[in-house]
Amino acid sequence: MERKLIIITGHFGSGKTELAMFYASKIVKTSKRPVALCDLDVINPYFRSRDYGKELSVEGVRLIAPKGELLKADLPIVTGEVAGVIENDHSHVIIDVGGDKDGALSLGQFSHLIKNRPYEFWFVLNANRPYVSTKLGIINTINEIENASRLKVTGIINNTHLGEDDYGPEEVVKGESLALQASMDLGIPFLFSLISNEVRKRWGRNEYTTSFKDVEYFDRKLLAPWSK
Amino acid sequence: MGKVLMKGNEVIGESAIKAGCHYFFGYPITPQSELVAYMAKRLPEVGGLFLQAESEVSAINMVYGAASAGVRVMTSSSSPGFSLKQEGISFLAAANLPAVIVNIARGGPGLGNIQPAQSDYFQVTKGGGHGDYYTPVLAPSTLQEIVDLTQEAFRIADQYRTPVILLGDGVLGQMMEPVEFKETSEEMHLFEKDWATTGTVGDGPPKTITSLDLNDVSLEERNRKLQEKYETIKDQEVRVESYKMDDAIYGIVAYGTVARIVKSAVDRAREAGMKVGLIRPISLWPFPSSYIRKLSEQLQLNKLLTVEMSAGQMVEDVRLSVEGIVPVHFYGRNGGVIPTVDEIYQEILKLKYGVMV
Repeated sequence: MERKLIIITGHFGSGKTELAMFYASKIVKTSKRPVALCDLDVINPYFRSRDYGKELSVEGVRLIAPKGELLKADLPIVTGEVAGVIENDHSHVIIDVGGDKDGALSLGQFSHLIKNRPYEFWFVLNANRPYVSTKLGIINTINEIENASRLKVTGIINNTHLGEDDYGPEEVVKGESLALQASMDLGIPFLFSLISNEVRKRWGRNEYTTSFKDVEYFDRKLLAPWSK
Repeated sequence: MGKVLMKGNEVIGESAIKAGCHYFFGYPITPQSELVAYMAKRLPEVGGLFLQAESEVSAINMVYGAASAGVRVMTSSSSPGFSLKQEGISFLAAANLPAVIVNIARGGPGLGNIQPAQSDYFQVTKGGGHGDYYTPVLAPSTLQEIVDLTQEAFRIADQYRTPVILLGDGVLGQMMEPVEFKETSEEMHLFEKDWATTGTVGDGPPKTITSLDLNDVSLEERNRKLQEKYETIKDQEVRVESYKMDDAIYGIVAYGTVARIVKSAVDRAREAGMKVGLIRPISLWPFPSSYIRKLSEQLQLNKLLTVEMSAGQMVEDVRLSVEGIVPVHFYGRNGGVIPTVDEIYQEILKLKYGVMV
C-alpha cells in the first residue's frame, strides 16, 4: 500500500475521532508500514483519541498527542512531533482534527508540509447535527474549514446516526442523500457511509440496507461511562 | 420537529432559547465553553443578545441587571468560575430576581482539573454565597432531561422570583445524545413582571430593586418573607425518580451522570438476583428528604448506599433524611475520576455480603 496521509475534519461532534481510530486500526492490519494517529483536537476536552493511547498501541497504532500531565491540560497544545510524522513519507498518518473552522485552524500551520505530498482530506458529516443538516450548511462548513486549514477537502463521508437511539436505516439514507447533493455542488467525491456493527446487527438485511452506496462498518470505541 | 444529535452544553443553550431566554452573559471555562459558544452563534439568529463579559463576576452582575428589567436571562460556568459568581447569586436571591445559572462542574477544589465532578453539591444546595438563602437546584441525568429541566428552571425562577441553578458535570456537558425539542408552551410566558424596573409613565411610584436594607427590623422582615418562599418551594418543587425500587431491600441514591452508571449496576445486580433499586433526586434543593424517608420505612430498606463523584456531600442529606432508621453507606470517586459500573456493582455486593476479602 502506498503511503497514506489522511486528514479527518468535519463539524464539531460529527464522529471524526471514531473514524480516525477505526481507519488507523484498519490500515495497520493491511499494510506493513507503521501507522501514526495525530490527535490535533484543540476543541474538545473529552472523548478524544488521546484517551485511547493504550488501546491504539495494542493494535499497533502510534498515538501522537500531548504527553503526561499535558494530555489532559486545558491548553490548545499541538506537539512538535506532528510535523515530523507528516514529513516521514514511510509512515501512514491519520490526523484527527478538532471540529469546524476553529479546529481546522490548528491544521493550517502544517498546510505547507501537506500540500506538496499526496494527501486525502475527509469531511465527516452527521446530518443530525445542528448547522450541517442542510446542503447549504454543509457547503458553508466545508468552505470555512478549507479557508482555515488552507487545504482542499477531497472526500465526503456520511456518518449520520442518532447515538444510542433505536433509529432506522433511513437516517443513513438521509445523510447519504445530503452528502451526495453537497458532493455534486462542490465537485468533491462522496466516499462512503460509516455504520457501527452494533447498528448493522440490529437492522439486519432489508430494502434500505441493501440500497446503501459504499459502506464501512466499525466497532464503536467512544462509549458513555454507563455503557462500558 | 425531529430528533437532533447535540452536545449537552448545546442542549442547555437551545432549550433556554426555546424557553424565551434571549439574553446570555457568559465567560468561557472548560468543560462548559460550548454553551457560551453556542449562545454567541444562536442568540443573534433569534434577535437576542449575547455578551462575553470580562469575568464571571461581571457576567453575573449583568444578569442582575437584565433580570431587573424583567427578561429571561441566563449565565453559565464551571466550578471555579461558578465560585466567582456566588456574591452575585446572593444579591439575586436577596433582590428576588429570577435568573438561571448553569454549573457544569469539574474536578476541584481550587483550579482542580477539567474532568467531570459532583463536588459542588454543598455549594449549590446550601446557599453558596453569604446570607440566609437557598437556590432551587435541578440536576438532569440525560440530555433529553436537560431540555425539560432548563425550561422548568425558567418557570421556577419566574414563579418564585428566585435564581435557579442547573447543575451538570463535564460528562453531561460534553456528551452527545439525540434530543427532541417540544414546541414552547404558552404557560412559559404567563408570568407578569409588574415589578420590573422598566420605567414609570406616571402610573405610580418609581420601582426599585435592591438587596440593601440598612434597617435591621425591616431586613429581618425581608428575610422572613424569603424563608416563607423557601418553605413553599420545598413543598411544591421536589422532584425525584425511583428505578426498580418496588420490591427493593437495598436502595442506591445517586444523581446526574452517576445515576446512569448506577442504573447499569442495578440492572446487573438484579440479574444476579439482588433486590436493589435506584433513588434519583432530580431537585437537589429542595432535597427529596421525605420521599427517601417514607420509601425507607415502607419498604423496610435494609441499607442505603449513596454514590457520588465527590468525597461525600449528598450523603449528608441522605443521612439527615432517614435520621438513622437505615444505615447509609457511601462510595465516591473524585478529582475527575468517574466510577465504573463494575466498581458500583462491587459496592452493591458489599451491601449484601459485607466487606469482600
